[in-house]
Amino acid sequence: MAHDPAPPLGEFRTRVRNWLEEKWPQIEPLTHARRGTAAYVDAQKRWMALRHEAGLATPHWPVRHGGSGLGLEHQIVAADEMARAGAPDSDLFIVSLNHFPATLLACGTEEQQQKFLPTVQQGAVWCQGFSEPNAGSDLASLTTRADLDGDEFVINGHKIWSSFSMYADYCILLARTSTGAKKHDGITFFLMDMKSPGIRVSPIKKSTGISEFGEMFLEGVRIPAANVVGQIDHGWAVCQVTLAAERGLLVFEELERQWYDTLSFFQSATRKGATWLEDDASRREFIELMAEVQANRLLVRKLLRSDGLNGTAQSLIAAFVKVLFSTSKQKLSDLLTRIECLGGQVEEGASRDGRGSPMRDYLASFGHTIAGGSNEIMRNIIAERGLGMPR
Amino acid sequence: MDRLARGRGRGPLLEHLISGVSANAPEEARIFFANVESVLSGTCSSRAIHDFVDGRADVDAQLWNAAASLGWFGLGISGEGPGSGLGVEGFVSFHRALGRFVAPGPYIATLSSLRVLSESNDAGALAPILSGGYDGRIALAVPASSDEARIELSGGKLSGRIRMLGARASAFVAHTYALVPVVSGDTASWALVDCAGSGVASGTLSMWDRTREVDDLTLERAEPLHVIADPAGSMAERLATYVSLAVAADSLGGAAAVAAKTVEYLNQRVQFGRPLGSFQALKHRAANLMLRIVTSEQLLAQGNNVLGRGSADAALWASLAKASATKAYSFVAGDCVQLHGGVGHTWEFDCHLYLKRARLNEVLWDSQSRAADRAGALLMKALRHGEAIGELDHGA
Repeated sequence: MAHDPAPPLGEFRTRVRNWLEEKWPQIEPLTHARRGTAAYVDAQKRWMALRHEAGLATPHWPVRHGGSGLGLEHQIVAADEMARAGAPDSDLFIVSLNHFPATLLACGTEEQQQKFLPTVQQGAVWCQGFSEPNAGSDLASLTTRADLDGDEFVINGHKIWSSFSMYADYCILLARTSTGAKKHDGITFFLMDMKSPGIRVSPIKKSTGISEFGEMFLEGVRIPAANVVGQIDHGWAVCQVTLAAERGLLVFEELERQWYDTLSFFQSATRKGATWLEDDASRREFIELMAEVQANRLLVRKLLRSDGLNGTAQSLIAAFVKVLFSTSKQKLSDLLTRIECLGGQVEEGASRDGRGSPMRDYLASFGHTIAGGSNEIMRNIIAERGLGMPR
Repeated sequence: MDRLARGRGRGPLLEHLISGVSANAPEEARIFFANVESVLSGTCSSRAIHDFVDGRADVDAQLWNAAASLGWFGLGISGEGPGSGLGVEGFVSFHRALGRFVAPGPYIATLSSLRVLSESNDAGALAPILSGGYDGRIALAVPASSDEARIELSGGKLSGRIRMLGARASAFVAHTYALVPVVSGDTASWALVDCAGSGVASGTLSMWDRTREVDDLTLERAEPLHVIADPAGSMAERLATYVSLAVAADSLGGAAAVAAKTVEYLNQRVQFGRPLGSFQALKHRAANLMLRIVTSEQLLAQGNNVLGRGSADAALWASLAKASATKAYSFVAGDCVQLHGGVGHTWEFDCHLYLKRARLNEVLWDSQSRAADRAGALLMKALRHGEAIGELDHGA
């Protein structure tokens, strides 16, 4: 479908919508898979295969790398239609679809692109090996070592918070190749095969009760020198591209889902005559939060269309989007949890058939306020880069 | 002092907050607003506003005369001068500019009324105002709160009492007309009445915010200049929409200005051997001001866009914009007092001017809860009728 040169937007929207409708009997069951289970991984892979079949897995990639070269506006339309339909997300492939390709397309060699980009279309799961127990917000202080031995680097160290690392085929890894005067110098960016000997993944259980991220213990892992992205010792500049990939379409699709979910929640409450609507405080708080979600949708569009702005302006808008999106998510799930009263405090077990529970959403929301650059770091960025407040 | 010497500059956000004029606006609008900014910087400087508030200068008259001679009232009436043709966006940007300078004058009421009257189906509505050409000779007043009781119309005469935004016959206008909500039996309408007419008395209420005027209007068998039927309440809704957007814009202009002044203060004020702005706690406070402002800005843009498109959900988004922007302004202005330390709550510094303007904005027309309820009711109605709410991507 999306293998043609860019169709007009209206036509493209119709095609995506029709495809979703046509395939819905196959797609809908995939929305019920519960996070943290093998069934979830399976459902994610099936959904990715369906998207790939329709040319909607990597539509924004250059044509020579298996994409359709579709521009931003088409991506927005596709993400919007999937959110509207309530199609599954592609969380298992977040790094595969965003962080990894953005980095490789910007900083990788032609050979690296030819070799590694197709893995995504083949359904490979990529994870990120950045943070360490002693290097979270202060990522540049990382100490995982990469020592050159012939034409390979030998990796020794310890990574943490790596999402879906237990299912990953590949990893984008930051390790220290030398110790210089500044901690940012001497870091190198690697592409690591997760089947390499010496990698041990240990899942970490979240407050929600599921284990989706984990620690990675790296002992004598060998990576070919050809898998260095960018220059040795200059990986910090490369990883800035990776971190910038957190912005944009990733948040856009989440925000669209949040909007449609919020609207439909309100609609069904209105139809049922839900009692919380009679409570002035709850009803007003809800309206206010709904307005915030809409404000965030508008802001992320500004971010997506900010290519004309300089890097500082873009990173500022991205910081705003990050804080506002994660905060709204937390406030909404917080309100909905309170609205459910005692019932909301019952952990769902099998009864909710994979649909979210507000309490679970609320607990999970801390992942968004803390990860991807904590909201505290974002506020530092806003103040220092945006308002010129002295460091 | 070393940190000051290193000087990081203002930062793009601060520059944007200070400048206030959108780089993306069309040429005509940019020129117009550069002009507006220039006049406001001169007429409504901090010193001038303090003098006005202390009763030493008639800044309101100076500004109104400048507005009239420069054709700014075209923002309310199309075809009249440079302001016309700038649409809803121009109306909104103008109030934002006024808010930045806490500029005095009955602009919210006048421009909102002019737009609503010119958009009504009643051809006679504007006649009393436009006869002889409009050049700011007439100021208009609207109810200060949507909660005010309607005026009774009986035997063609108006009786009742209502608090209005700007109903005193001002020295710098020939006439002030009040646009009052009227009830006659079960029939709702609006009436234009001359505030200096017989049977009309207005007493000025002494407001904390001295940059705006709220008056107690008493009508005793007063003769209306014109009555406009409003059986379905659509004119009431249009007026609510315009006033909400004007107040929201005023609020965001003011919030941006007081936040900018505060950040500049923090970056300059040195205590414990370092600028206050170098403390992380204060950086986060400043960032939080921006987060509120930026969020409300999006809602104002939404209200602006939907009204400009003539969309059915304009009233909904205008209400949400008003609620969000006024709450943000009160929060920002209050925190800016605190962030200034001792000087923050003095008469001499600017903070209290913004704070008082913010508190009045918060209750003008709709209170917070009334605005949320208005929006909630409109939302429920739209959902019941299967209308699309908040669609954003219209190109596709």
